[in-house]
Amino acid sequence: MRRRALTILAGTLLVALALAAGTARVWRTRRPDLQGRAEHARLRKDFERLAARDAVVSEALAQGGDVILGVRPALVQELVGQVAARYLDRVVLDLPLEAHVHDSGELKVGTFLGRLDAGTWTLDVTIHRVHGRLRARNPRVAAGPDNTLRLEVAVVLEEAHGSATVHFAWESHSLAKVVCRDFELTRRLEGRVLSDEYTVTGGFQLSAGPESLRAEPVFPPRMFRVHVDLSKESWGQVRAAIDEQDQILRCGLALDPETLMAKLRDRLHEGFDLKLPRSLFRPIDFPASVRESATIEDRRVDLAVRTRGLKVTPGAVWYGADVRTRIEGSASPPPAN
Amino acid sequence: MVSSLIRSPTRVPVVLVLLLAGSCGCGRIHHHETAASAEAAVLDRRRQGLAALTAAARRGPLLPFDKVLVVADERLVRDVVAASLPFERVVGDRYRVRVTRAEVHFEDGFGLVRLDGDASFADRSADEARADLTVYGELDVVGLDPRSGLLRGQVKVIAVDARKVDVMGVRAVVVEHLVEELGREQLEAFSALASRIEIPVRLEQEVALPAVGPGEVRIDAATIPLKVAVADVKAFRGKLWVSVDVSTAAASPAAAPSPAGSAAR
Repeated sequence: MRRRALTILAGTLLVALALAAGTARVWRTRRPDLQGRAEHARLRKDFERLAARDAVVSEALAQGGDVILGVRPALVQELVGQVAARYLDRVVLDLPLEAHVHDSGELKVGTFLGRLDAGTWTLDVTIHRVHGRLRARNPRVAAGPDNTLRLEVAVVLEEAHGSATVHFAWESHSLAKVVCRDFELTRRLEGRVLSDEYTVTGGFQLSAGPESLRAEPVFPPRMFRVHVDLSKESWGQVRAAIDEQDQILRCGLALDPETLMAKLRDRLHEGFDLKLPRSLFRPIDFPASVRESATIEDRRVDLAVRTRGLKVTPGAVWYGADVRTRIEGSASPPPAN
Repeated sequence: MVSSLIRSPTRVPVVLVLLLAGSCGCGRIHHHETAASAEAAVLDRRRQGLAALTAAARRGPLLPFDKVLVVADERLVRDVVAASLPFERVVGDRYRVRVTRAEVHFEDGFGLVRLDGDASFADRSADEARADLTVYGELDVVGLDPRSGLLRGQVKVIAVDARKVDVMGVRAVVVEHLVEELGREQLEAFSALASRIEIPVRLEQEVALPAVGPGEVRIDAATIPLKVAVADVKAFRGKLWVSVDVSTAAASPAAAPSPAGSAAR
């Protein structure tokens, strides 16, 4: 009887222990959950309070969109500057100019009869083509109004060469006509554009491109004065042609070749206006973009991207886009009847 | 003591009670424990994430935004993952896992990816033994794809919850076996389910300048190489916040392009 009672007692204890152990396991598993959840809630509250004060977070969330790209203005300026410098450097110009330089003047010479109105000279130079090279110095980029960047860059036009036709005419006046005949000469010569530095100013309009932030060039048309000259050999030909007239029974009494050559040279150096081609400036797509597909493992998912817009704040340039997965077949047009 | 109990004629009810308590309790506890462990693991990760976020916010700016900040919504990543469903993978060379549902949450400092589906032995029919499976993972943005420049992530598994599926109300031994084996499998093995997730944001590693001409203006093509690297990743408020460092190097002619991807993490 005693043994039976002991057995029942032992069995009861064993059952109680087994149930207690099971309960304890469940309780152990759940108790940290309650503590953990409470701690989690406290941490979440703390963090939300701190995040609400973060300007970047607030600004980014205000843009909306499934994807938001923020670019610091300094990087935008750096990239625009680099691209502009790269584009305006090593530019080869081959301009079919047909630019004209025209001038005329009167020449007076001193004679034993006093100063004499010798005649009128007329110079026409046509620069047919100029072949040259541009080099850019470090550009300066600054933020401008209405989502623009202002750019100023010094561009050096390295000495350029081209072909020119020089037409020179001389018309003798009064007494000079006695000893001086009118004459004209036309020569096809080699010209050159003198090296000079020009300041190119313009800007870039920031906009929301189809997949990324884009900077479109905005450079108002502007004329640049280029100064031309003839090659040494060409000047030699002009001088020879004038010298040919500078003889007794021709214009020896009237022409002063030195004076005339200096005037011609000065006039050519004054140069002509040149407009830089618009193709010099190209849009710049920033290197961060939203793509129209993504791969999960080995499966490609096509996406439709819709730009939301662009916002420029003092702290960042923000670009937002909505992205939707393309469900196969949904984009195809309805069948034609 | 136990052996003596078993041997006793009066011991049968006691042993039955013990077995009953053990089988019912263990069966239920096994399920709850697995689910609870998974939830606890996720909760732990949330607490760690929030602690790190809070510490970062207290130290200074919450986000290191020096150059580029990419913000991706959890809905986008969830839709991208969901668009690839359902899919099957063999995990650990032993299990066939079919993923039918995906959830993505960018909260509390980490990107939680939850994949739901079922698992069976790879060398047997799924009808023979099948278990419901939930894989909890953390989206780890590992950097930029060297070829495409797309932001690339992978899921690091933090917990797996395998549950029995009763067939016609009968719990087969083989199913029990499957669930137990799944529970013993290394977590890393389940990373095969989502080892490559792309976020559709591309960060180029160069600015390409196309050639101009022939014509009045001729400019050779060139590239401006960029050093691009993921600097920081955070997840909160339903968004993934990726800070990217971008710096320019000297321009180079297009004929000698920079080695793409060398800057990617």
